[in-house]
Amino acid sequence: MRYLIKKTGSAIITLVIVSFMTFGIFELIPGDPVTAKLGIEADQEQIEALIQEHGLDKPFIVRYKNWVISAIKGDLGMSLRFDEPVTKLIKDRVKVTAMLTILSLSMTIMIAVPLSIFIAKYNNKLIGILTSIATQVGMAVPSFWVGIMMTYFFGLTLRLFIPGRYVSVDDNFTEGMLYLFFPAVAIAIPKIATVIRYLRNAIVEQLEANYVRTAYAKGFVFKGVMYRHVLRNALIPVITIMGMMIADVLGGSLIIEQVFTIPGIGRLLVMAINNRDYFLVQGMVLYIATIIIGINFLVDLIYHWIDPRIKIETL
Amino acid sequence: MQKKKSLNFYIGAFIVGALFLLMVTSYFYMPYSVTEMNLAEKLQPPSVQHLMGTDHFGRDIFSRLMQGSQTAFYVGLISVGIGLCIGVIIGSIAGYVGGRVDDVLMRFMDALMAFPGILFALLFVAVFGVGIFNTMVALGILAIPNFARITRSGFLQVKNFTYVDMARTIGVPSIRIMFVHILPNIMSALVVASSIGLASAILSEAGLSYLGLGVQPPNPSWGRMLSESQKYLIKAPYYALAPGVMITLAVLGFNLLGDGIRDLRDPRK
Repeated sequence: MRYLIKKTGSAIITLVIVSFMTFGIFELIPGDPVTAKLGIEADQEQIEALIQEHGLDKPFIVRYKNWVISAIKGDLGMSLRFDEPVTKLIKDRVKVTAMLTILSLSMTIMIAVPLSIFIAKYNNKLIGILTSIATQVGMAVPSFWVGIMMTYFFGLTLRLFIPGRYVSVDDNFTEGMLYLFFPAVAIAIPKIATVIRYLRNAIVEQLEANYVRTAYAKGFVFKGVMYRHVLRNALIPVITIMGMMIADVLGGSLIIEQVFTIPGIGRLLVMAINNRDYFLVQGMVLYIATIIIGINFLVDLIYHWIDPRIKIETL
Repeated sequence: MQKKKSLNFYIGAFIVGALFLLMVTSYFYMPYSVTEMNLAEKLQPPSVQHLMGTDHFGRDIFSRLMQGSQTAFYVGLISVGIGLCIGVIIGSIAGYVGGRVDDVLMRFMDALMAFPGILFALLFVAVFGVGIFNTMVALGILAIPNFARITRSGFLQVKNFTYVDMARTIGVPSIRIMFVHILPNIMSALVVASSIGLASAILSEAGLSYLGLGVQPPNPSWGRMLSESQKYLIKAPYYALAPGVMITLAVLGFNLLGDGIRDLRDPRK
């Protein structure tokens, strides 16, 4: 319980700092958003109406407070460019990004965990070297480049999908998922390499522990030892990097959406930056950062639940 | 004493060394001019004249890659430098002073780490504009928390050693204790983190430039070459191949070098 309170407190403080930075950094912009929208030839009335509308005449702290309060209520202001509420713009696009993230995360886990067990089971020098080569290279390849290469091989050569012709899952589920499959793989590859690197070492380390020998002596076979004892312990260090990984996967999908022209929040964000649509950028950054802080908070709780030995003092 | 060996170190050093040589060479000699366009020879496949073919303006891809290595090293070194300097200062103050100061500083570092790297960089360029300078600053700021954490935990370990107490007793100023007596102890950890930091800076720079929000022309960039090449993927797939391989090699090299130095420093593993 104390753990929960402490963690909630620190998540809220982090959120406050992040929101303050996100809001405050826009104060440093040379020029103002009003001229950016209306152009230099706008007449005084228009300018004042817009200033009133966005409350730009109030002092910084007041605006920050108002911004946070309305953000909590689910209002992130109006996009300068699209003349639509920021929340609506995000809502229209968040589904595909979320699907992409979940797809690639589940791929990572479904491939990396069994593969790590397999590699650890047949652990010898040759396999060790091959694994570290594969994971090192896997961690080094940029996912957007993998995406481009996949576009060439699977899209242009094998014609498994048509590059650039995005199909929404709402229109056609199978085709939509197939279109998301390739970008998800592109994001997953470096992540799979990272997980294998951590998990394999953890499993190998655990397999040498005394309790494993005891378990074997008691007559357990490999499967029993692995799933009942080893994996539970070995997954702990992996869960610590899970929060970071989710953030990374989300960050990766921001770029990969550009490669595969997927109309998600990544494309929206890049568009907003190119259009100098400050309110949209601000709202989106706060939105994404909040999600990530929330996920990290959950990961912390799961971590504590799985391994109660983790004491508050060590945090 | 047994001589320590690390395959990671040798491979990493070899790749980084080769790229470094390529970078240095590019200042004196490149096979072709990277600014001159030659539309008669555009999108040529690899040949003896053009090792990696030519791009959509008929420029030699290999020469452009050589020139791109300048940007990769430049952005990587400067941004890691920014992160290292500020991170070490913040981390040593937090670790040495402790208490409230430590809490506040590290809370800020945590908040900065809560941003996924690319998101913070995008926020930064959205506000301050795109370009090589802002890319370096954004990536530099991103690197701060990691260096601060490493420095802080190093300080926490070392600051209660007897020799530090001795130094304090005989009246050595705090600044001197921090940077002359304690800091050298964590140098190797910082070197490892710098090498791995360089890898991730190069990767992030490529990603940002790919989105068109990083390094801008006329500065060369592997990431931007990738986004240009995507338009000619059907006609010239090799164009997209080469910059990707370069990015991968650079990231791989610095990662291996970092791991290798760690292996050499810590033979237990």
